[in-house]
Amino acid sequence: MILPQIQIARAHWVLGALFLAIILDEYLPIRGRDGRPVRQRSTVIGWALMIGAGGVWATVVFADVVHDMLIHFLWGDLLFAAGALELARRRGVYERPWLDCVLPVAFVGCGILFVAHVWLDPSGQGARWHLAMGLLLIAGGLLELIRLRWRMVAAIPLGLLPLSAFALALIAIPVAAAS
Amino acid sequence: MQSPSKPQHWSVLSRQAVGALLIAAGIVWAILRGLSGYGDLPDGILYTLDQPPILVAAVGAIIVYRGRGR
Repeated sequence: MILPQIQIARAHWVLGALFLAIILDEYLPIRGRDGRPVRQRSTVIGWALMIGAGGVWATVVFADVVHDMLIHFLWGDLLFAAGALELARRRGVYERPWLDCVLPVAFVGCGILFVAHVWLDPSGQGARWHLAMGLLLIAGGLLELIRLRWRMVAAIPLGLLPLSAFALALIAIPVAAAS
Repeated sequence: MQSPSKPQHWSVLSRQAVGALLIAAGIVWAILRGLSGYGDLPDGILYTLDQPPILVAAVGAIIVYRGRGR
């Protein structure tokens, strides 16, 4: 079963809106009663990541291009793993220091997959669009990793801008560029 | 009832400001781009709602809702 291009674009728009909500809810500053920044602990984020993974995996069924199937399958894997780890952490059943890196690493991983998507299909209609989105994801993930390592900027959500720009680009993707 | 501390007040305000900005952006985008109606049937309503300006405004509304009174 192959979907028409407009339906593929619609799926991208919905996923873009889901990621924008995830990124803003996770990274907009929240401060505790003592005034220090605290991390958002809503379990909604874990569920939202896994729902996003399900949406991305659907491409494996609906796509007619092998590299689209492979890349979307790997995107779904990354998002599902990140969602599961975040959900376990926010439920309080699994707590490790390295879990701070789960979301930034997932963003970098998804960005690298965007670049791989362009590398596999450089003449595709959405190649430039995909490349821009991949670079925004990589930048956002790397900035968040820097924030985790560098305590001086810990209160500033460095990755918020590139990650929001990625989500807005996904919402605004032209019908012809969606794949 | 205890009133929120100053930092908490600002974090609520920043969320509401971003949410309001997204709602305004969605409205402006809808005016510039135009919206299509796809009928009253359930799939038509879904198609009508699944348009980029409406999705941006909906995310803004979610952020405002989730930012209230933290």
